[in-house]
Amino acid sequence: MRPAAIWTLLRVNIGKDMQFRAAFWSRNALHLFWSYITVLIIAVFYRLGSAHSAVSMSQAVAMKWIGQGMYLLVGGMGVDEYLYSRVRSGDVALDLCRPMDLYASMYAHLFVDKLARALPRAVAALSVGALLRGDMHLSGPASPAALLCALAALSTGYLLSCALEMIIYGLNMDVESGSNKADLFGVVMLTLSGTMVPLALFPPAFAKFMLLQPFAGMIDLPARLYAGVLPPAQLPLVLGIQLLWLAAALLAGRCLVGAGRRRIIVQGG
Amino acid sequence: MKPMNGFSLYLRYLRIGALGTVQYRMWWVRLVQVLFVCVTDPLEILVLFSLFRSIGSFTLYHVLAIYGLAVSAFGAAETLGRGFDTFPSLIRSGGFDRVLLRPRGLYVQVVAHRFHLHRLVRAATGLAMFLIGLRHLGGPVPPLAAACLALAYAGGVCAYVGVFVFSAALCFYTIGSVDITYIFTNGSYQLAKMPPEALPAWLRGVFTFLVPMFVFCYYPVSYACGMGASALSAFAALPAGALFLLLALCAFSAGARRYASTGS
Repeated sequence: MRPAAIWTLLRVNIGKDMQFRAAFWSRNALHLFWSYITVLIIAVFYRLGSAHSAVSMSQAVAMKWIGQGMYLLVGGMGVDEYLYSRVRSGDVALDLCRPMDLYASMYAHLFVDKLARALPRAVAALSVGALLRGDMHLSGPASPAALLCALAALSTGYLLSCALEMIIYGLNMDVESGSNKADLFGVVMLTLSGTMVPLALFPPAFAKFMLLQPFAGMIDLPARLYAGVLPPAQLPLVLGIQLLWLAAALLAGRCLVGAGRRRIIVQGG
Repeated sequence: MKPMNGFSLYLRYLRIGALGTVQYRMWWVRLVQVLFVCVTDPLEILVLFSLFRSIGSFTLYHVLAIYGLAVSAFGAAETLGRGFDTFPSLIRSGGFDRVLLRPRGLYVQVVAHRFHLHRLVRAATGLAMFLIGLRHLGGPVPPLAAACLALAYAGGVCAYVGVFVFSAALCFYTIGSVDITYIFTNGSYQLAKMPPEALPAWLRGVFTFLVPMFVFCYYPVSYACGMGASALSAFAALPAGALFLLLALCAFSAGARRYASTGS
């Protein structure tokens, strides 16, 4: 897909998101409130408890702000109604008629759609975090190099997150359960991507698993690089983990969408 | 034939809703989904408590008891009052016009027009967390305290149904669903993960006096486990919840009176 097309799609999607103004602001206010509360939980524990953790309070708070602010990049929970509703209503027949690569077109759609929803909310949440004073302040990156590494990892992480979500799309091509399978998969994604709790705070017994599992690459590893929990020298390791899982997810997604395409029953009218 | 009374009509609606759900061959997948959501939601406090042991005088079990009570009451309210929760779709589709035409009660038709079996899972998981917390806190609970907790649960269900009714009432003015009310539903019990004293005063005030969440989850548990709340504050849960629901129903009927059709 050409960059110009992506840019146009992005503008259209942001416009769609903002079409109903009251609803747009209410969604954003909700997201801000939610982010504030979840950061507050971490802050309260650090204030009143005595930590035995290598992660400092400002690092934990920063990772939590980033995870919450960008949580729509992760997807899952109710954000991927697009294909599911198309299969349920029968509109998917149109997609199947078009002479293009179904997987690629769905991937592009997902890539832009998620980005358009996530951008306004990420900007809002991260600015509020940066403006807050006191111990809930979102502090700057550990170093300029940390910021660059985090941005690089975040970009790869977003490609990975879309590829992982395409697996849900593949699973959703049949509607036998009467519900969106994204809800189940989404919980796993939200938990293991570190948006709920920064993965570095898990007990040491889980540390290796939390580092190597596919979902960490989406948000948590970039956030660790930003906060300095992982030094910039670890960037190759992070990118390696991400790219490995990206390849696996692309392959699995393609197989599932292909299989779903053969089995699909077009309904509705 | 004599028409059914409101209550048996409500039960009939719920039965049809449940039967509609199990028509899908894989309907139970939804139960698993909700179970997953409910089990992973408190995961962050489990992780944080494994790191910190305690926050002030609060341990994991205090949080489980208070949070479990709030979540379970919320799940029960979702099960019994789902119709108000999904009211925006009724307004937007124009279905509410049909509701008004039928010669039956407004509330019973709205509250029962949706019933989702899988919401029971949240009520059950919350109850399990509440009981685990309570068991570790003080062993056997004296009858008076147990009665207090039961009343608090009822108050919590009333209050959460009240939140649904309020957001439904708001919907008469906005037509679309108002996401911001999530703060008082799924957002509210996130606050039950922390001791109220640790919250900023405005936040504690909103969730005590505006939506009485701490009134039905914190004070009753605190009283029953001897953490220092007075009997008066502990028994305020049911009256507070009932009052909140009553106000919400007034708002809803005020909205319904000015309703002038929508949808297609």
